This record gives sequence, structure tokens and C-alpha cells, in this order.
Amino acid sequence: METLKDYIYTMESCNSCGQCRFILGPKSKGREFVEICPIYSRYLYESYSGQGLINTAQELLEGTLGYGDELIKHIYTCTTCGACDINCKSVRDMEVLDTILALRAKCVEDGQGPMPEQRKYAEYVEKQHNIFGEDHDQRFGWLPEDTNLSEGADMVYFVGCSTAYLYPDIARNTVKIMHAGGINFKVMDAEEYCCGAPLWRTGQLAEARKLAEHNLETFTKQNVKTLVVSCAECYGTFKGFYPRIAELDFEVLHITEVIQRLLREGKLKLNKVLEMKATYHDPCLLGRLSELYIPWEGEIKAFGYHDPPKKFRRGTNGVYEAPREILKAIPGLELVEMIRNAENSFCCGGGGGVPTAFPDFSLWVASERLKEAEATGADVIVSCCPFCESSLSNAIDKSKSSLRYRDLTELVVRAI
Amino acid sequence: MGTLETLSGFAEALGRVVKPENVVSAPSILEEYSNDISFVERNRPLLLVYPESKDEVKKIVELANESKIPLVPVSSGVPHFHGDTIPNQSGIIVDFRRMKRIMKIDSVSRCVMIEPGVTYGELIPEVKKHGLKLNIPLLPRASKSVVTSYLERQPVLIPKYQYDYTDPLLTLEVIYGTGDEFRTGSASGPGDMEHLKSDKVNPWGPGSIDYYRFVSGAQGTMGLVTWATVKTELLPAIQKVYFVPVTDAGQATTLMNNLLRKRVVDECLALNNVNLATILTDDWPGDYKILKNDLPLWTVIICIAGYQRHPEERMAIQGKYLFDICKGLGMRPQSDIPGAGSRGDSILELLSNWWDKEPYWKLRKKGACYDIFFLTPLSKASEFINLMKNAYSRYQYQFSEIGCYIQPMVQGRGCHCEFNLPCDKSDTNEVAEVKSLFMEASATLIRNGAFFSRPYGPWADMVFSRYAEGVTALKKLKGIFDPNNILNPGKMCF
Repeated sequence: METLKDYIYTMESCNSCGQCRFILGPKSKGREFVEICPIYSRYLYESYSGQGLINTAQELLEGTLGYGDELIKHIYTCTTCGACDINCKSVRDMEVLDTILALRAKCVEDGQGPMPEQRKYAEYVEKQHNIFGEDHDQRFGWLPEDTNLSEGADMVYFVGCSTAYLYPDIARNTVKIMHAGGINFKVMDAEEYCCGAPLWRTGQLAEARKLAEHNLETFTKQNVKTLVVSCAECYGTFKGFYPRIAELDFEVLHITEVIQRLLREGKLKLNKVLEMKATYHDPCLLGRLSELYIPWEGEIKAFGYHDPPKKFRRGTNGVYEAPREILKAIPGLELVEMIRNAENSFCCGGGGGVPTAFPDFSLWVASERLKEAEATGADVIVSCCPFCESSLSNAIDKSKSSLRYRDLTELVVRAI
Repeated sequence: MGTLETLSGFAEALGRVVKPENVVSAPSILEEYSNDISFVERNRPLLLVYPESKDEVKKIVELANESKIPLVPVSSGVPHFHGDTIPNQSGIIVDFRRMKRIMKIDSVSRCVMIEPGVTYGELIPEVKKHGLKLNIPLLPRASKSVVTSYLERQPVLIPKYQYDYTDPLLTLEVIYGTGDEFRTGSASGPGDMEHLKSDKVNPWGPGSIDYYRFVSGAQGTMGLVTWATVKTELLPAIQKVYFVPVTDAGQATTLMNNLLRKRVVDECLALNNVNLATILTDDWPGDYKILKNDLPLWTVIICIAGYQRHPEERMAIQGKYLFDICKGLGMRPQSDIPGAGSRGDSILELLSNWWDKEPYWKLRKKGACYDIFFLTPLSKASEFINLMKNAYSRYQYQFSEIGCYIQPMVQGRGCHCEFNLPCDKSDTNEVAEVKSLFMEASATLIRNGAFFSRPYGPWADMVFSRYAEGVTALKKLKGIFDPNNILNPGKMCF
């Protein structure tokens, strides 16, 4: 797997243009909601941005900057939402987010990271295979006893830690939808371990790799051809991290993609009217960070020419249409867009281990997102990730917003 | 004979689209455009035309397409140095020097909108009146076109305010080889020029294609620019220049890299003693040799500045960091250049202006000067200087007379590295020797990774022969924007 040294080109070629902090001009609609980097929006210093973090990485790598508590905090405040990465890639061929993740891995390797609160992920995973330290035997405690599972199926529903323990309704609704669509699937039971997302994104790569290897081995043993997830973090991790460990020989689908297929094939009908004005929040790891990682080896020549050409993950092929197509198919539901949408979606503050280590900042980010959602006139904010649900619901509670949060699976179940 | 008939017909047609006095066929005047100070072969153009407006340019291009007669754009006054304005095939010179309107000076958006005939000598004082300054190249000649200078990516003195190698170029109006009119970046619309709300400062687009890059560094082969918007900076309220003497280029680049990484300084460049003495000598040639011997081998020249808000505080902070960084490297910034006496006092003025003496500074020594220049990371500049030393060692030519100039670009992420080879054009042996050195050194530098991003004259073959995929792509673009190859044919890879 790549280390910080592999991103020297990115560090050396950043020209401090600042595009990592803003959405592209043609995508903006005035002066509001044009900032895209959560840490820059909050702290307003250049060091708090993609460019600042890669400058920091370069100084650390070259030994001109030493570790300190404040520096570690600075590095770990980033939500790793990747907005910097895809906006940079709209004009350059640089790997901003991968550099930030490699920087965190270096901090861990040097015994400096992650934040103490985030170290618990690894401890919990070691003992219980989930990031909350909950009883592993209860991972499928949400599963209704009468659920019709097909042991011979090659499709698996991978539930994920956050859905299993914090938002089991998402899991139950996912199962209901799959049944309604006549899909044969199974679950992994005790063999399902955390996907590794929080560990990967806090630089704890050895532990993340262990989880990935376990899950990949299980997929092979269980002859899994299709993996269905209802969590964006899991989705982005399977597509963005696992290919760094081994080539994927199975398809990864988010439940929104499954529903989209069912609707298009006429196997699922959404008939019930849900009168609401909804805006959709694109989770980072289902949107801009959901493209498949394709390993690349080669030479970077003058002006960044990659030989052989590299397939960059620029965020343009994220899962944007499926959730919107579903929402538009619900009778009575009016979909309105926020300015920062699709690959330019503003983070909810729920990723990168930030809610664990910096809950106040995480709340601030989610509140900023709510302001944008409120500006659309919507009464419901919809998404399809338990991490986003956690952040946005928390912000709604704290700010006494009139908005309501709904997971997309809930709306689909209500509309069937 | 047919050519002459066509030419006379063409001249007549030209006379109908521009003022008759703007079509010139006098051999003595055409002769001025037939050669320059480069190794590109002499070739006299057929005609010279001075357009005065975009519509005239458009009609000239349409006529050229009908007659398949090449057009060679020129915007700057003499001397020319790179051979890009000498017709490869007999063609028509389109001289933009009569399109010299300063269309807008926008203090709020910090930009100016100018026609291609506007020169540094004209624009620098004008923007100064508005509290602005241009990020200029090192001592441009007064007659140098600002638009051409930026279009051809001449390196500018303040890398801190440069975010792209095309900076400070912003938006353009272009007449492509097809005769189509096009505006780039945020100047593209919506709406016509009278109703355009944009301030025309965003160079990107329209859409996901940065059209302005097609004409940048293209030597006039892709389109003819009829106006450009270029970025300006604030005029400093206070400014101070420092000099750091060093013994080799490696020390100079290390220092500049450290300063620019922390974004401390404004103007930032390094000159060897040859170039610095050439620039500073008042009493030529008497003073030159003494000054050259007394100067440090290399001098890093650095400016710090305070602007509208808290200028003194800004200067104090920047000065502190400047001294701290230098101290960490065992160096000390000085207010005077060791060995230069009071001449260093003029540097600040020189860095803000055009060269106002005759001859041009590069021509002071021998009447001609051949430049080798390329881009490289700062960390590799000294390697290339050593390569150059090895290349000249086989020649009689004295390396101690070669000027060297290192100009960090784009926040110091790269630098322009330049060698200036003075030459007496009346001495055929010396010209042959310099030409041989020029060709051999260029080839060696390219082979070792020096990036000749502006491949003029003989460099074009050296560069494009190593870049087959790029050539294919460039030819496709050329086929779209100039399908009849009427724009400066024979240059670049076209």
C-alpha cells in the first residue's frame, strides 16, 4: 500500500491555488455555500485545508516540522470528506486526500496518532470486531427471527457496525425492501466484522488491513458475488480501501442502487403518497469518494503527465442518480437540491473519526449543512448513511431545527 | 508569377478591410521582420498589415483562409529574440502594434484589459496611477507587448502571486484560424460584451476546458488574441530590497525554496555576477569588468513589501521571517550588494520597470545574445547549471561571460532557469561557435530532463521528437482551430 513518500509529487506540485477550499465557480450560485472544506470553513486559516495539510505532510516528511499535540489535533480535525481532493482534481492530477490519509498513517506509524479517543476503535475491534465495543454476538440482534434468508445465495447484505448497533431500523428497512423486491440474499452472521472505515481513515492501517483480510476471506469462503450495503462508509471503504489490499472479485452495491434496479425492472412499486418537500444530502463515501480505486504504477513525468495514464478518482461517477431517481419516484415527494450537491456535497461532519475526537467541531459542520438544507425550503433532509444520520439528527436536535431527518430506506418502505 | 498575382490580389483585398496605409509592402520595412537575434533562418515576409480592431483581424483571417496565405502575428517592437515572428513560409506579418487601447483598469478586481499592442513601457505607468502594479518579467524592453509576454509565459518576478504557469494571464478574446471569434474563461458569457456581468478574471472554462491554454505558449499558431485581461497586484505602500550573496546556484535555490515555501517574500530571483553587473553598470563598458569581479558569484534578490493595511507590521513580520530563515541556512540578508557600492539602490526601481536604456541590457556586451531557458524544480537547477558548464568546457567560449538567471515560478514549485550567451554577430567564427554550443547544450539539457516549455526555433524538433503522443494531440487541436494551417505554419510541431 502507498505511503506518504509515494505522494511527493502531490506535495511538491501544489501551487496553493486554493481550489481545494471552494466549489468551482460555475457550480456556485452567488456568494453563499461556496466553501467546501469543513476545516477551512470553520478555522479560516490556510493550514486548515487540503493544501495546508499537504504542506504539513511535506514538512513532516522532510523533517523540517516536528510533532506536537497541536499538530496532531490539526491533522485529525479533518473529516477526510475528500471535497478538497475532487475540487483539486478538477484542475490538477494530484492525490490530496490520499496524501492526508497517508499523513495520518505516518502519524500512527511514528507513534503520534491517532487521537486518544480514536485509538479505542482498534481496541474495540480487536475484542468485539466492531468500533463501539458492543457485544459481537448481538451484531445481528436487530434481525427479525422470521426473516427469510437464502443460505445458498451469492448476494450478502453487509450491515456494518453503525447500522447494526445504532440505527437498526436502516437494517430492518433494507431487509424489507430486498424481500419486497424478491431478492434472495443472506447475511454473514458472526463472520461479519467491521469494514475498517474508521481505522483506515484515522491512519490505523494495520488494524484496518486485518479486518479487510478477514472480510475478504469470508466473502471468498461464502462465494459472495454481490455485496449489498446500506452504509455509505462501508460502501466507500469496499470500493476505495479493499482494492488496495486485493482485487475485488465481487460487485458492491449500495441499497439505493439495488432499489434503483428494482424500480427500473418493475419489481418494486412505490405507490403510497408521502407529501413532503425533501432535500437529499450526498454522503461523501457514497458520492465523490465511491469510485473504485484502481492501483497504478508508473512514472510521473513533466507537468504531471502520468505514464501509463492513471485512472483518477475524480468523484464524477459517484452514486448520485440512484437516490434521486428513487426520491422522484415517491408520489407526493418534491425533491429540491442544495447548492452544494453531488460531488460538491458539503460534509455532515460525521467522518474521519471526527465525531469521536472533536464532537463540537463535528456538530458545527453538521449545523452548517443544515443551514443550507433549510435554505432550500425543504422540511425533510434525506440521506442514506448512518454516520450522516447521527451527525445531522444531532444537529437538528441541538439547533431545534424544524427539519426532520429521514433515511432513504425508511421513505421507500413507507411508500411501498 | 501566380504567387505575385495572388499576392497583389491579396494586398488589394487587405486594403479593403483595413486602412490602405496599414498595408505595407516596402521591402525596407519588410526586411525588419525577416530576421532577429535567434538561430532561425532569415525569411522575408510578403506583406505587412496593421489591424486596428477585432473586426479587421477577423477579416484578415478570413482572407488568409480563402487565399491559403500564412499569417505571422507580431505585437512587440524590436529586438526580437526567439525566431517565432520570422515567417517559416513566405507569409503576411500581422502587426498588432496599432491595437494599443488600455480598455479598462479595474482596481476592485485588480486587473487590466488591454489590446495586444500595449507595451510594458505604456502600461506600467498607467496602472501605477491606479495604485496597482504588474507582476513583470525581469527588465522587459519598453516595446515588449504585455499580452505577448504573458501569452508566451515569460517568467515574472513575484512567484508568490503566481498560481499557474500562465499567471497573470486571465481571459482572452481570440480569433481562431477558422475565423471564429471566441472569448475564454468568465469573459465567455452569458451575454455579449456590453451586457457581460462578469469581471473577466476567471481564466478557466467555459465548461470544463481551459481554452486559454490552447493559445498560451503557442507562438501564434492557434489563434490571434485581440484583447486580454491580466492580473495586477497592489502597489506597495512601502517596500525594501535585500540581497543575499552566495557562492553557488545550489545555495541560491535552497534559500529561495525555503523562503517561498513559507510565502515570505514578493520579488525573488537569483542572478549570477555577469548578469547583475550587466544590469547595474552605468558607465559601459568601463565599469563592467570591475563590477563583475567585485560582485558575489551569485546574488539572491528579495523584496518584502507592505500594502494598504498595516504595512509596517507586515514588513516587520516578513523581515523577521526572512532573517530567521536566512540565519537557519547560515546566510544573512544585506541592504547593499557587496562590491556594488551604491548601485544596489537602483535595484528596486529596476525590478518595477522596463529597461529604459539603449541597447537592451542583454545586448550591452556584444550586440547580440542567445538565450537558453527551460523549467525545472528549484532543487534541480544547479544540476543543470553544472551540465551547462560541462557542455561549454569543450568550447573556446568563455563561460565566465555567460549570464545566468534563476526565476522561481508558481510559489517556487518550479523555476525558470536561463543562460544568456552574448555574441558578436559580426564575427562569423564566434557566431558559429555560439551556435554549436547553443545546440549541443540545449540537446544535453533536454536529454537530462530540462523542460523546454517554450520550444522556439531549433528547440521545437528537439522537444516534439520526444513527445509523439503530445504531438498527435496538438495536431488534432490545430486541425480544429486552424484547419488550413494559416497561423504561423512551421512553428512548434505544425
